[in-house]
Amino acid sequence: MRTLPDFNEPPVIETVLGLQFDSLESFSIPHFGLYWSKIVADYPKFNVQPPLTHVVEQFGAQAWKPSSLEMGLAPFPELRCWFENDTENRLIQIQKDRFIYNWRKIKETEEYPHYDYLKPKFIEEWGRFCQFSEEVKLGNVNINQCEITYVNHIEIGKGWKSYGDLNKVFSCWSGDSSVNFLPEPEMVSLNTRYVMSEKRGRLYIIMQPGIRRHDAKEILQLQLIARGKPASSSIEDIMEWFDLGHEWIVKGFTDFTTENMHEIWGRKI
Amino acid sequence: MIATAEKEPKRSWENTDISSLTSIRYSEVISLRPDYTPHWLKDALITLFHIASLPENWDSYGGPTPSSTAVNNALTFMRAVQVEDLPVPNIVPVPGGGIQIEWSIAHRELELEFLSDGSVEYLEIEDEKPIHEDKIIPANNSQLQSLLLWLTHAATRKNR
Repeated sequence: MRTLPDFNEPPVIETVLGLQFDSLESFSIPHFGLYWSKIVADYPKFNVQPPLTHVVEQFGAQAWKPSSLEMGLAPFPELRCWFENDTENRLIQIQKDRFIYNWRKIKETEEYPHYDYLKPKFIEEWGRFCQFSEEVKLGNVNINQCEITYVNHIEIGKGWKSYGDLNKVFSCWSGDSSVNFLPEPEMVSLNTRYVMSEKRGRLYIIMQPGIRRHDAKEILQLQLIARGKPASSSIEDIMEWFDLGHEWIVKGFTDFTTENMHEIWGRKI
Repeated sequence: MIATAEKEPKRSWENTDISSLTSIRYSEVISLRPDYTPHWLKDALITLFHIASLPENWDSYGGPTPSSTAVNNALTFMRAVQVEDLPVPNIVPVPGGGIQIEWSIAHRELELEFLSDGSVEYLEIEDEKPIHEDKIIPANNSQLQSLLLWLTHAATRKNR
C-alpha cells in the first residue's frame, strides 16, 4: 500500500538508481564487452561516455579523506558504457566504480512506472552484474554510496507563464521584494541541499531552466538527488537506503513544490 | 553563394505542435544557466527546435526535413556564441535540409548556413551588398570570433 505522496500525472521524466563502489582495480576495457554479452539480449544498444567522478558525501571532519585523488598515468582511458534496451527507455551504465540503472521517458505518452515497479528490475540487474563480477573474478564489490535521482520537467503554461510566477510553483520562492525595486526576474535557477536525518546522506534539489529539444518547449528542469552510504554492501541494506532516499525525494519534491502544482499533477495521497 | 531564404512575416511552423513529429528523445534538454546564457539564446533555441521538426515538403516544393547534422552544428554554434550584445537572430530553414542563421546589426548582416552535409558557409553583407563569403570549419572558435567581431563592430563604424 502506497503511503508517500502520489500523483496521477507526475512531471517525472527520468529516474536513476545508482551504486558507487570502491574501484574494481582489475576491471578493464574487455570487461565492458564481457558484461555486455550477458545482457545483450535485453540491452542491444551501447554508447560510450566519459566517466562520472567518484563522489562521497562527507560529514564533519571525521570522515574526510582524498580517496579519489590519485596521481599518475592512467593505465587505460577511463570510460563509462551505456547499454540501452530496444526502446531506449531502460539504460544500464557501467564504469569501474559505478553501476547505474535508469528509466527514461522516451515518448510523451509514456507513464512513469513508479519506484515499486523499478525496484525489482534494479535488483535483478544488480544481481546479474554481481554474478558477472564473480565469474570474471573482479574482486569484492564494496559499495560506498547509493544514489537516487529524479528528473522532472515543469512545462511553461502548466502552472507558470513567466519567471515572475515561480511562487506559484515552488513553495520556498515568495517572489516578494522589500522595497519594490527589482522587476520580474528574466531567468531563475535554484540550487539547494539538505542533510538527511541521522546524516544518512544528503538531498540535492536543483532547478534549472531549459528548452526541451523534442517539442521546443520552455521548461523548468527540477532534479532531486539523494546520496549516502548504505549500512553494508548487502542487497537488503542497499534497498533499505534506496527506500530512504526515495522517501526523501518524494517528500522533498512535495514540500518544495506548491499545492497549486500538486493539483495540476493530480495529487492522490 | 548562400541562398537567402525567403523571409515571411509569419512563420507557419511556430505555432505547430511538433511533439509527434520529432524522433529526439523526450528527456533531452538544453539547459539555460542565468549567469551563462545570452539574452537571445532562449528564443533562438525555441525557433531552431521548431525548424528541426519540420515535416518533409515543409515548403511545398519537396523540401526535406532539416538534417540532424545541420541542426546539431547550428546548435553547437549558438551555444558557443557567448556574446550578450547581439540581437535575436533570424533562423530559417533552407532548401536541401540546411539551417540559416542571420544576424543584422546596423548596416552589417552575417548569414551562416549550416548545410545538411555538415559543412558551414558564411556571407558578410554590408550596406545590403555581399562583400565576402567562404566556408568555415564547424566549431572553429577563432573563425567564429572574427566573424562576430566583424558584425559587432558595425555599430561602432556607423557612429564614426
